[in-house]
Amino acid sequence: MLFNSVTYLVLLAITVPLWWLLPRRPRLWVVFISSVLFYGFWRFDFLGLLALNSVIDYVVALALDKTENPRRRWALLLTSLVTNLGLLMFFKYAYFLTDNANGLMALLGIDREFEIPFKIILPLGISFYTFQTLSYTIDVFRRNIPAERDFILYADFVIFFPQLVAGPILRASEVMTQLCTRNPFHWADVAQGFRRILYGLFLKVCLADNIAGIVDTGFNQDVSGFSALDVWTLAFLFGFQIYFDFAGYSHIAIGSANLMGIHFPENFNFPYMATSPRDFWRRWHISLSSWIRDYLYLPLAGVKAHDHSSGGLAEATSAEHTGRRDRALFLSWAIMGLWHGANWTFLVWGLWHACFVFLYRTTRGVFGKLPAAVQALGGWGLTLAIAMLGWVPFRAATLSDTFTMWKQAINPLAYRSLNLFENTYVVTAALFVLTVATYVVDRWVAPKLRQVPLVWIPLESIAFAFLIAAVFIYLRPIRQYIYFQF
Amino acid sequence: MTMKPVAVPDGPPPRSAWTLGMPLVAGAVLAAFWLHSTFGSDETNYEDFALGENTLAVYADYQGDLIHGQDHTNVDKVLAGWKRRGERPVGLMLGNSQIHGINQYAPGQENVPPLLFKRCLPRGMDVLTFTQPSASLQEHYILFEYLRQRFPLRFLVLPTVFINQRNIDIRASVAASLSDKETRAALEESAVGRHLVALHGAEVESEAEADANLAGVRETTAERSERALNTWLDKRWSLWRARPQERGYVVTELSRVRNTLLGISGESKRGIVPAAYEANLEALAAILTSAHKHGIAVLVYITPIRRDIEPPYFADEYDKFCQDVEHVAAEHHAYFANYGGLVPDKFYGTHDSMVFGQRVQPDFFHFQAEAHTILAQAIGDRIEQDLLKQPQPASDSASQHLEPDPHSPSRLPAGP
Repeated sequence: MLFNSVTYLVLLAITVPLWWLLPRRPRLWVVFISSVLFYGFWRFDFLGLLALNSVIDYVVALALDKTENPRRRWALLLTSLVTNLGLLMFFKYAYFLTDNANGLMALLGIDREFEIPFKIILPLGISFYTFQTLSYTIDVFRRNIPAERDFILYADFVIFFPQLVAGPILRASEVMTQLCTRNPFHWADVAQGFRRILYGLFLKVCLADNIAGIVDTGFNQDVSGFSALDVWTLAFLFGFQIYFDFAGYSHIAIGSANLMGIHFPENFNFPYMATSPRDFWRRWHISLSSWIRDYLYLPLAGVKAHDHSSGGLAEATSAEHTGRRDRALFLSWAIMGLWHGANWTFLVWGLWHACFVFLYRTTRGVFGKLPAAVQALGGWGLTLAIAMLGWVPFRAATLSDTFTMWKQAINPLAYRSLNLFENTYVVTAALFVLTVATYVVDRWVAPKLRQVPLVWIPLESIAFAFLIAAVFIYLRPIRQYIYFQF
Repeated sequence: MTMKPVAVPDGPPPRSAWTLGMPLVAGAVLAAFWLHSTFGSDETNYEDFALGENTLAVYADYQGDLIHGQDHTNVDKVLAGWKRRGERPVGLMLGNSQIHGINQYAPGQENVPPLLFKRCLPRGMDVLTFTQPSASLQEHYILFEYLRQRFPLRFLVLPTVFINQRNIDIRASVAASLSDKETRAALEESAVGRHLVALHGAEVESEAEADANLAGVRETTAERSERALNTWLDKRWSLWRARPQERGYVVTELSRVRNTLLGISGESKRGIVPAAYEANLEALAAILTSAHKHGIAVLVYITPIRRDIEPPYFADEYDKFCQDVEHVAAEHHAYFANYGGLVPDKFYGTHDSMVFGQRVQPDFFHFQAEAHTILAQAIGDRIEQDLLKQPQPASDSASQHLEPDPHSPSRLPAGP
């Protein structure tokens, strides 16, 4: 089921009142059934895999809780890791590994080809729920949390529909307690929930889905004919598309949970206004980067991990250079890249960011001496350029296309022509202005105007009239969310 | 449950329910009022909006059977009529809004498709036409291969519009033709066709009638539930039913804002988009190659344009386009005509301005019924003079080639 559909609104309209009306046990079953329907409306047959994944971690966690024997604990943890990551590898990376093995053998002159004799369908949200269940088992292993004995409560944590297929990737300690004991009802939560859902739908159905066609048209062309300005424009435009698409999803997820009085941590915070790579990794897909921080980077760097899905990967950007930390840096970002998809282009995206984080670590002492305004403005410009050019491998079909586009972008002689539709440039420029203006309003204008309700409420009402009308007109499941494919 | 809760970063909102909820409620009321007052009774088809108030899209029928369709959406209706008339050989015309639009329309007036149909009727032929606004040659290519599988085509009349060769997108109602295996196979014989199938084929491979609005949930339970809910809402709520018009309105108004802010008018020059131009010329070559292979005679012509106002393109690019089309036609054994100056300027109309503060602007492309008669006459002459004189292939064999004389006077551009 897609958030941007009438079906989802109906599901929400049934689930939310039941959540508030029913006592604990039936309430947990309502969430369970709603979540099963939410997932099953895509494919009911893949619910089995989700169940297998969940049951294994449930059993492993219970066993972990019961034993103090370190060898047995490690064996149990390994069981979870192998099963979870094995399933992920099979469903997500089997074709990728086979293709690359075949390519390598052809390169070595070995006349043998591996073939997968059946069709593998990537289960919706597998990367997300795998990370979520893994984090649960690891947290139990680390004794951050106790194992949950109530299977329905545990299952609700894993398959809670607002965050099931595309996050935010949450920790058991953040959600399970709120599912177990209902938070007190506040009308403010409900109003906030509706607002967040509306923001999210606007970003998805009005902006991301309408940009998508222009982005597709651009990237479907022969990239060798692009000028530098074309590359920058397409990089920015796709950057806006993926941001609106995913941030829109996160808004709806957070808003849906808010309707039930459940509070999720934020997943995005104006990432394109970041003034440094450190700042960017505090603002972009915060729950994933926090996951990578706690279960990959910090353990690899030999530092104690946290147990919350906020803060992002900023810590990795400020650490001092040591061989171990540098290796952890590159490995973490490479894995984060590959987590997004089975293609070398995603690895390149991860390494691109790792390189700039490494550069930031190295040079921040020098740039730190510049005046604050120069640091902020220059840092913003540079970080934005790095982030946007980083989207090229994310969207380009091949590595060759990626490098061709990057080469054009840095070629000073390639800035003399425009080869895309005029609208591509106009829309990109308009979205850039809109993004910056929204940040300025949110950060500086709105807090001041909120002090004067007689001015602020009419202004907000007009803004919401626009949002509601736009969402009404454009609400349709015309496209899946980009992150569904990851 | 003994779990210790961690601090949740986003606790209950700091603002009161009233300050959070009031703007939502007021906004909903304002939005409902605006939507009702603007679209309560609006039935405008915004796909043909560029035609303006003075130009009407006319799709002709013959004795109640459609002989002029749009695309995949009503091929079946055209096909049914053709079967009822006895499955006679077919002359196909593809085109754009110049063909289906009649400026200053008065009841009883006809555009090119019925005029050509009636002219060829005594010769035992059905001339069937399919047109879409701003159709590109890539869209024509998909539709040509789709229609070729369904009708015994004897000839093809193919208008080429310079300004439309900037278009590279394939509209869903044309891409739907890719659900047909034979069409996909035929397209895959050319590089541009393979590209089109790769880009658009997968979307429609298994669901010919798939609703583009439900593309994100195709072939899932969600698609069925969404379709059912939308049908239910469509039946009961006129505002919901009018959403396609509302989307058209938004796009049109946004275009007006853009044009007003950036000083864009109907006469503003638009350069070619190199990749789109190349792809569309490749599609033209692929159509002609396929037609030649299957013994279908082709007339490619440059569409009439208004000459007394500045056109929205650069003259040198337009001239090059005419030369390129003529060259491709000659290379692929097709007849060519340049009807650029065929229609006297007085027959062109106006269309709604796309700039705030201006009601109408001259239309450089759509004309009145008299001009349709002129164009139909010119095309009809060429059909009789060249296309119908070609020997018919004994079978659908690739060995049958039509070789128009490259030095024939009929290849010379036709004057007004």
